[in-house]
Amino acid sequence: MWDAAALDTPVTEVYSRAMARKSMGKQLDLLLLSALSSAPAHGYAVIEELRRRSEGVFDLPESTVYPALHRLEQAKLLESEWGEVGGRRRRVYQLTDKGRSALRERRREWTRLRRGIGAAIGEAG
Amino acid sequence: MASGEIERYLLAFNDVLVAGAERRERILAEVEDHLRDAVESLMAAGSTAGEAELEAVVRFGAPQEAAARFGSDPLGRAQQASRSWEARRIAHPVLIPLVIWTPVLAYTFWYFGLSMTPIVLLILLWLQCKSNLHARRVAGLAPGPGVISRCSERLRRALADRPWIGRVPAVTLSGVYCGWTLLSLDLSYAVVLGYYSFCGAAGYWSRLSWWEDHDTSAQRGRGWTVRHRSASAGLRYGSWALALAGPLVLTQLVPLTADPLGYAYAYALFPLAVFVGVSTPPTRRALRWLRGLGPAARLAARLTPLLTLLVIYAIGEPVLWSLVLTLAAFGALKAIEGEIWRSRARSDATRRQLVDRTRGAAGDGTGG
Repeated sequence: MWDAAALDTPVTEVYSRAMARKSMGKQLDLLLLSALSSAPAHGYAVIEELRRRSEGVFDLPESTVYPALHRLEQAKLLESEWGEVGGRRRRVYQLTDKGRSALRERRREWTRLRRGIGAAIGEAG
Repeated sequence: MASGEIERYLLAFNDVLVAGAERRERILAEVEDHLRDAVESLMAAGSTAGEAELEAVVRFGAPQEAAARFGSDPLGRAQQASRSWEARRIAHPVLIPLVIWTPVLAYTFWYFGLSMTPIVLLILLWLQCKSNLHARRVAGLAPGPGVISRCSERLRRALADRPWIGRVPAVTLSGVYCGWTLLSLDLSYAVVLGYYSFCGAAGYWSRLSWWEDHDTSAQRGRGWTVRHRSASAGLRYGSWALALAGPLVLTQLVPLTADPLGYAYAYALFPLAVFVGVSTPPTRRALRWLRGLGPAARLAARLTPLLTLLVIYAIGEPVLWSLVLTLAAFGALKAIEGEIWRSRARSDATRRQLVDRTRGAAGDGTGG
């Protein structure tokens, strides 16, 4: 027998995860800049930090992060250099001044967007 | 025990990545670091090495998809194009001259007439032989006169031991042509041309045994080459001193009519600029600096004196702008060619390393 209740939860979960993934993709730059705002870090540490901060919601393929880091570096929002971390040579990224102001700006935009969406869907502010 | 999954993944990733050599090396290093970190973390969580490697590469994504996310850069695309040329090597000696030589020869014929065209053709042939030879050498292929790329390995090796094959005809014919031109010129200009030909020949002779890298050649240090470093240095410094003093010396020696800007010595400045552009630098430090530059920067350094002089004169004589533009276009094309070759050679070396590592890892895996 078809059990709607049994299917309901997984479908919703899959859908919400897909939406979250799409939304995360759009906000990846903001997430990366935020993850690097506290301290310089190499790619793997950035991914771990994002996973920790997003409480597991952020599960984009790991290879997505490096092109985004490169793109942010090209835009002069990040700078990177080879450094010794944990006994291995790694590319360490850190925010530039331009990156810090971009992060502030994007945080403001995100807050505005979140408030707007919250108001539109009747979320208690 | 490690299964070699990371090495296999990196090799597959490298083969589908479209990037110039420098960017490629950085991406590969970062991807490898990431995978090793992931393996360490998974092993700490209780996986075996083989499981951890497999899990790490799966989590990173399929090589095609992962590489595509990095996009491509112009040098990488050009490098790919040149790689496809390799499969059709016969196209290379035809396409390169078509692209690079045609505008220069057309301009020479239009501006100077038939008299200058053969010598420019020889110079182009010589330059092309040099760059092809260099490209084959850095790519780890048996060097031979560059334009002859489709020949048996035996013939290629035979040619590699005789580097003079590409050079001697060009030098001889240039010499004959210069001699003939000297005889047909006004005596004053014949003296200028002869003076700088002498400087160039002395400078060139000095490098035959000292700096020229004929590692694959049996000709090194044999025959009529300069064997002693002090003799070579004497020739080199002498040629540079003579060349630099040329404009002042020549205006005292022979009557030169004023050029369009009113300076008699300018007719000696042009051959001096050519000398500076083509001859071996006077000191080891200068040579090291020049060799440390990339192909594009090196070419720019070589061409800058002549282009600067031409621009100064083109302001007074607008017809020279066409020469400036042709020379700049030629330089830009040669620079692009050089950068592509260098990038491709580095990428090939990176791939060879990855292949070796993959084989090594496979050997370890089966051996254990």
